Amino acid sequence: MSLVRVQVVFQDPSEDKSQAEFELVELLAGVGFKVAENEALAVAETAKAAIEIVSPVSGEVREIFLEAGKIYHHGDVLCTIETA
Amino acid sequence: MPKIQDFTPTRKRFIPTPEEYLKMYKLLLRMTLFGRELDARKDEFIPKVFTGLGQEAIAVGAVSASENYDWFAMDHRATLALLGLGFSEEELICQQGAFAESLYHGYNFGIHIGDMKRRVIRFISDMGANVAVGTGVIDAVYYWRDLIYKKDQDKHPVLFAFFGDGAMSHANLHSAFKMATTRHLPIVFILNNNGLAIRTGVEYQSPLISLAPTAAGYGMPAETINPNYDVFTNRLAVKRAADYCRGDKNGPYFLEFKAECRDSGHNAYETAEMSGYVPRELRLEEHGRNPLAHCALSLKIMRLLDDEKEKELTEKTEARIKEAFETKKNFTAPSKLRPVFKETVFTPVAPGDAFAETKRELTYGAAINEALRQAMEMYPNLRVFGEDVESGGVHGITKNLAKLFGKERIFHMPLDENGIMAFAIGNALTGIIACPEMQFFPFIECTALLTRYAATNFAITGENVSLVARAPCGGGFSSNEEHEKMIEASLAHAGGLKVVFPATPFAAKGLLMSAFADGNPVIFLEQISHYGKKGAVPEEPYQIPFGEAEVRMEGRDISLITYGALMVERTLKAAEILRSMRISAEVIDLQTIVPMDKKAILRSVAKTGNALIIHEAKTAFGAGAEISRIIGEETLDIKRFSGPQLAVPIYVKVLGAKDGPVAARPELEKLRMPQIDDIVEAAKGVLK
Repeated sequence: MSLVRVQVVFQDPSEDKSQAEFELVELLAGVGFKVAENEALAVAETAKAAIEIVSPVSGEVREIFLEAGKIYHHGDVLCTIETA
Repeated sequence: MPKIQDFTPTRKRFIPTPEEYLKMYKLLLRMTLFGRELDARKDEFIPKVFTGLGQEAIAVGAVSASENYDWFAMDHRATLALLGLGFSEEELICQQGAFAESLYHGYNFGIHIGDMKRRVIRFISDMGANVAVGTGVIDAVYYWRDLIYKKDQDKHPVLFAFFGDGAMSHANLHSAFKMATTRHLPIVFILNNNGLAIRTGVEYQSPLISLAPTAAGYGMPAETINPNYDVFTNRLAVKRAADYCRGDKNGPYFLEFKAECRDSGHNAYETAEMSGYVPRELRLEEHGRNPLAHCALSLKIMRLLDDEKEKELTEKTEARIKEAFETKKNFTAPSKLRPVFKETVFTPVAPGDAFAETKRELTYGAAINEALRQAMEMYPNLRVFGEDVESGGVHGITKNLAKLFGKERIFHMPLDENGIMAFAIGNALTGIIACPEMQFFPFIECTALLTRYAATNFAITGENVSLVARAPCGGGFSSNEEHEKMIEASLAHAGGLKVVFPATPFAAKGLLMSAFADGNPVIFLEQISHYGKKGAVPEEPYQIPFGEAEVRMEGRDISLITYGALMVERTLKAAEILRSMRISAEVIDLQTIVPMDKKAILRSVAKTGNALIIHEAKTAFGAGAEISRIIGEETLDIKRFSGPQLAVPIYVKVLGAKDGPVAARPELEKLRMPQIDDIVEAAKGVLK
């Protein structure tokens, strides 16, 4: 068992990507949800396109740090997932 | 001649040994796990990461079907299969990050990779460029084998050339198909048709469901493999195609590996954006076609693999990848720009003698013909090709050469400058001195490869491209924009091409001989209107160094700086008229635009304090603007060594053609292009 942090990363042409913003459009999982590897956790809108944030592992969502409808930055952590 | 035995239908089988099955699995495992790790760590790399995840079976099938003397032109979704061609994980990680220690020292990243020593032709972001270049490589490989080395003639190398459905629309691919089919080149074309060129659906590239008929139309067998996730099927298809290509004068074979979509995005980040343009259900279906899982299952059913062995191999591969990523911390950021040109050591072929007085006269065209003939005698690796060249070319410059040297060394090409240039670059990459004739200078605009591939190759790879593109050029006779436009400034601006423009028959022969010895890409301009003009030309071979201007007339009052036979001739006549007006003009013939003889310009300007630059090309943004910049930037230095009597700033004027197209009627050309009177008037204007 280990705790995996899911960061929101996406392509952006700026020199310093940490300033690149995204809007968290929709959360598709909640705390306690069991998710499979590659399953979509959330949808975000970057300056370029809509992106799906998928789970890198199979496990259970432990904590969610971001809220739908708000603006965040490249590299912010969406949630933690505890692997089975 | 057919024999009765030929009428019995036969089929060759290419059944892998158990070891070969496992070898395929291991490469697939290595490529897939490595790709997944790169994808997971994409944010650690400054450039974008490209993996081609989910489509490994195509490249693994091809690599597994190859012999160790075959050649590859990878596309960006096949790059990680380089692991099967002698590239290590460490090397590819270093390349992904474009570190100083990478193959290209920070000049290119990730998938833009190749290495002629390992028979992989560099991929660049000009779709299908390395495929088109590959036609020249594989042709030259056989030239070296059969005419130079004369060994290994029982080995028949094949080029495996990869590209996607987007590239099928690109001129490079059409050039490659044409060159491969007309010359019967042993190339297996491998189309990864995943239905998407970044986000553009294949329906925007072609109305056909399968693209194989497009290739078939060029005159080669073409088949579609659908689905494309089975390594064993893919290997068999490529093996059969390669066997066909190795046959006597069979030529190329086209394989289309088809899918409805792909599992991973154009690049690793782009995967997250795919929800915007691929239905989720379709993507899930493609995700289910996992080549690695499918291969493992097949091998288990075939009793060649079990769970334990699978686990062992997986852990071993993961450990290897982890170890490779550990080395990443040792890689450093690049800090050095690299030279654009290979250093050329000037070695006159016949020192002394050639430059002695000679009474022998040749025309400008005959001097070039003689240089070609003598260079072809000197260098067995020199090949001449282009539209019409076998029969002398449209200008008659390659006359009689085919009779002397044969069609392996001098030959016609399809009417496709892009293909000719790609073929030339490919030849040059193998060590051939490639000499394409471009028929008319503006036709070079049809070949972006010249600047994208040839001009950048040395700086990026350290491998020189010995290429002399002869380009008959210029006005002075009745024609039009497409035949006479002067584009030397845009080529000089590429920053990796030498641009040479002889003014006399003597210069034409000597500079062309130097071009062949230079080792860099050279654009050799020939003044069409002067092909018939005579001048003294020594019979023995000789070279004239690049970057050394010739003072055609000494003077004190004004420097007339020019180049090219027509403008040098007009400028000399103008200087005579100026002399009758008691104006002493110095005429500088640059001879080469790149490299430019700055010293000669500055020395003359320091003496006269006035400069008029004359060229056939348009005034605005031309070579004259560059010469003005040099004079401007160096003014203080000029003053320093010329003494306080020199008035600064130095007055500089450029007299080139006026904006607008070349005109057919001489009356209009007189208005557009610098005439003798215009030069006289402009010079007087400078001195006012």
